[in-house]
Amino acid sequence: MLALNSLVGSIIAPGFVAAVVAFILNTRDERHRTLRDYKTKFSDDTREDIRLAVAAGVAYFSCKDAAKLRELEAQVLLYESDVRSGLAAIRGECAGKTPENVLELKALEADFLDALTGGPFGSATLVPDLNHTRKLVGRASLLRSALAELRRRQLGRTTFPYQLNRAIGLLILLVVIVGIAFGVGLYAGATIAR
Amino acid sequence: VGSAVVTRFAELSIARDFSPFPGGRQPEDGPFSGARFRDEVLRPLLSNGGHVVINLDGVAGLPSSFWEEVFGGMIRKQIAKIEDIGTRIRLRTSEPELEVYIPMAYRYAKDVECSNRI
Repeated sequence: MLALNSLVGSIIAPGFVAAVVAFILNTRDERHRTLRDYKTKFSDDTREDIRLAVAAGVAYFSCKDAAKLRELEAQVLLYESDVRSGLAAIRGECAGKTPENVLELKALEADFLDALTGGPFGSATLVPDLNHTRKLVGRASLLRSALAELRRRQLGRTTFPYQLNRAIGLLILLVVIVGIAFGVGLYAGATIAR
Repeated sequence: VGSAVVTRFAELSIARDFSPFPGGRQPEDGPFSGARFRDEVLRPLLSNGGHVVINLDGVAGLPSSFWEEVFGGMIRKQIAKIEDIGTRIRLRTSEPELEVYIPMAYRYAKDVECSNRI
């Protein structure tokens, strides 16, 4: 009986607690990592949409072929819609946490859209405009770098609390295991003394 | 005892009352151009000191050339003054991806106002 008590106290109970706590920590860890990867991919996808929108925009504002112009116009509008919905989701993610990033993104987005579908965009007769093309590329580059910088800052912010969380979890696990082993040891000692 | 003056705002939905796919500046650019929206839809509502709330919900997008022609054009054609934007003319949307067009509208009007002063 004493041997069984000792076995449960020193190996099985701490092992069970360790397994449960490790499972909980791993599940949280996995969820956190999946969410972080998803947000990074979303940010990268939005940056890619901006690049595609710029490529379509440059083709549109440099186009001399009237027949191709309408096709390029449709492409620009579709990419513009993708960029807007991507940026709205990223702004929603920042809202409440870092309002200054929301304002910055809104201003850069407005500048970019102004260049992408502004100026002579949509006119029946379009003359290729090199200056407008340059303006579009410049503004897109500012928006893309702001998105990359924002994601870097977000990753920097989430990494430290996440690691601290894990360290606290491991500390709790250690205390619980030591506590159980100590408690069972005391019980076994008292039983022997009797 | 003061008396409260209740201002009635006309509700205007671009998607419902004009088109869900607006685009272009001038009437020759397409059937749903900025100039048409400004002159045929917005102007009558603003005449005689009228107030209007423009709802952006439901549009596929508002190409900047269209939007500039509406708000920049309103200042250029003296249909409204810069101080009317935000007071007599208000913009509203419940769609986060259309929110960006609200500050753009004010900016277009302001840009024209600034260039007029110079």
